[in-house]
Amino acid sequence: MGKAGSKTISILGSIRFAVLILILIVLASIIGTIIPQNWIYEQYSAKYGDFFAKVILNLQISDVYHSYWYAILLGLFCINLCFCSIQSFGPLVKSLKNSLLNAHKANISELQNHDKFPIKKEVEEPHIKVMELLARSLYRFKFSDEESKTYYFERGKTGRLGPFITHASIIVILIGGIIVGLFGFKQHVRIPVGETIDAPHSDFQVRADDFKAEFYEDSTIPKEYTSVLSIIEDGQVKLTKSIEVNHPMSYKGVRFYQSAYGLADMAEVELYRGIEDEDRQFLGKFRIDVGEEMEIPNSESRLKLLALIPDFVMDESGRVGSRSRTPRNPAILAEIHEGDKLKQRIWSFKNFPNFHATENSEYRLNFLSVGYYTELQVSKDRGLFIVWIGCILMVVGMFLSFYVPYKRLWIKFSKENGDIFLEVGGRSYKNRSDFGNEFQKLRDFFGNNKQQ
Amino acid sequence: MNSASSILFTISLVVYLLATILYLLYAIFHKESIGKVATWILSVGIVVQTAALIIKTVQIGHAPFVTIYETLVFWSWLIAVIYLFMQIRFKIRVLGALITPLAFLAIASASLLPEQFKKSSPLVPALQSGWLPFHIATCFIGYACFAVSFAVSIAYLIKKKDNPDAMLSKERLDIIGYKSISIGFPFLTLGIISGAFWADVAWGSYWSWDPKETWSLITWFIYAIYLHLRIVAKWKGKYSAIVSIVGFLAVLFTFFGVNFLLSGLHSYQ
Repeated sequence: MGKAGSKTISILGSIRFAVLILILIVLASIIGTIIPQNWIYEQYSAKYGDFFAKVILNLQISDVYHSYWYAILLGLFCINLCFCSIQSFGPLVKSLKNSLLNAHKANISELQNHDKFPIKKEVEEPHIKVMELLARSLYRFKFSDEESKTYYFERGKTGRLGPFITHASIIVILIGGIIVGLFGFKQHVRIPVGETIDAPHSDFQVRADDFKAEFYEDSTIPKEYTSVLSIIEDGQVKLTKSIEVNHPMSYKGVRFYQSAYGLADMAEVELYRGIEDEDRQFLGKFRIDVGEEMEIPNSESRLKLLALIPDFVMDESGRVGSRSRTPRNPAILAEIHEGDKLKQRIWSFKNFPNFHATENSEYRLNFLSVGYYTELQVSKDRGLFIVWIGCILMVVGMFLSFYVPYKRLWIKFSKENGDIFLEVGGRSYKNRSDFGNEFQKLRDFFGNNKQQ
Repeated sequence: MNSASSILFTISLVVYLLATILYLLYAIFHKESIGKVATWILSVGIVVQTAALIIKTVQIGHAPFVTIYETLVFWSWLIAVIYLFMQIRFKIRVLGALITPLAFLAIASASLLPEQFKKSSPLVPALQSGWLPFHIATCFIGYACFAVSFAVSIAYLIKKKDNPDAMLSKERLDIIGYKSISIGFPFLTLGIISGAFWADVAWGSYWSWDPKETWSLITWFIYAIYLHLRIVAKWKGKYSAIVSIVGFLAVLFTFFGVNFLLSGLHSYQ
């Protein structure tokens, strides 16, 4: 590699370049939260005028996080991380390998963290006591130099790997994200209860067998909504499972999430014929859409659903309306026809099954349940596990970096004027930690209190 | 709402105010006895608030980490706890004069919220998950550490030259500002990642560029810049303090701004 090449690498891996890229990513991300995303031209021009609407769309500010220039920024960020890691990996391995060798050369009294004091006379075998004391602070004894009575300790050596693991994890997460984006899909589907649809990008079908929404008491806040789904493949039901928010299901790598629901303008009803209770005849149980007209089996009659009112209210003038779209008091209006003749018009209330407007009517319609559609997010995230591996690496790397400081201690005993002196020196990686606690513990244990 | 928990929250508010005043007196008069009393009072406040949090959790049936009122209260509790931990760890009591006001401000601003914000609403299905307490707690441990660094950085910028009998040197302030960010940053990371994992389970998408997500990432990047400038480029003192303050403004925007100004998946109140 030429001189220019290595210079380019050192610039691309430099801290200045890193900070520049990070600042640009921050600014770009802020823009994406200020300017509304994924609008169309008319919306932008109404808010910002024609000129800026064009600028926003042409520069992909309308979709910052999926724009080519955001991708370029992330790419440069990746390059920076790679070069920075490559540059620092060699020296890191070397310094970890040579830490003991270097430790031999250190001069305790020249270390930035340094302390020296005479020890109590009654302490026997002080070097053993030092080892025990420091072991409690997670220091490992590495070697001693019996001649100069010097003992060397280390802790948190794995912490040195932290920054490297963290930087590598970002690359892993970005690669995982790209794979998910390229090979996965995400799609919303709506399935009315009872119906079957083709699962997107798959060779099987999904049927919504049932849907239930439960609400908190006296509230329109949903407590739980559950769909029962069946997977149908080659005409056979392969799997039936109920899903809820936070509890998705998956089949052949395709995952189904409960994402929303709504009223499908459909009712489940039971139809009876006969005025007296004794000779009333059950005609059947049907699912019927609003506006649909259906033949009633084994009869001449037809059932037509005119309206479904989710939250029935009647004002003073007798006008019917719906208070909300939440099915708190659902009602239906239906008609029974025989040939061309309207036989009967029926109001039926789900919450009041015994309410019948006309007592002596021939047909009786029971409103069993409101029809829902369930809205699912269907997705396949190939490569998502790469993102999670990256995330785990990142957490490990971070906690190693900041919670496992690499610290080295040298302890030396010397005799001066009949007293034994303990001399201690400490060095941490890039001076990131101090040794106040360690020195204090040593003084508390060994220190000759009279002379302190 | 005169439930036991809200009475206890009010008591802890008053106690934090008392602790703040005592710490300030301690900082002014340098009397060790005042400092000791301040620490005891603060500890009492923490105990009372802990009890209130537990009672509230039992009352509403889930960790009180959902509404803006609940999270502000939790934030103040974390700031107080983390400060007490730092006081024991770094053995600098005068720091209390800078940080207990933050715990007081957080709980005071919670109690000043209009009544409709104080009601706990039942959990919508997306929030019914074991990830809720983990995600919120980790994020807010980060935010509380950043609040500490913010207070210390402001003090650093305001403080003129060191006089020899100062209880806290400028250099020490600078180091504490850095330490608390390095304690908090891994927790913010854990908070964002647990959020992504939860989002994948709940919404089927680990990252949606929802404003809250984006702003938490922006905050994360700003503190990443801070740490790199500090560790690699050896920035210290004034400029470091400024970046820490910018970072905390991003925290505040992530917390308040996104809720009130931008809408998205995280709009729960």
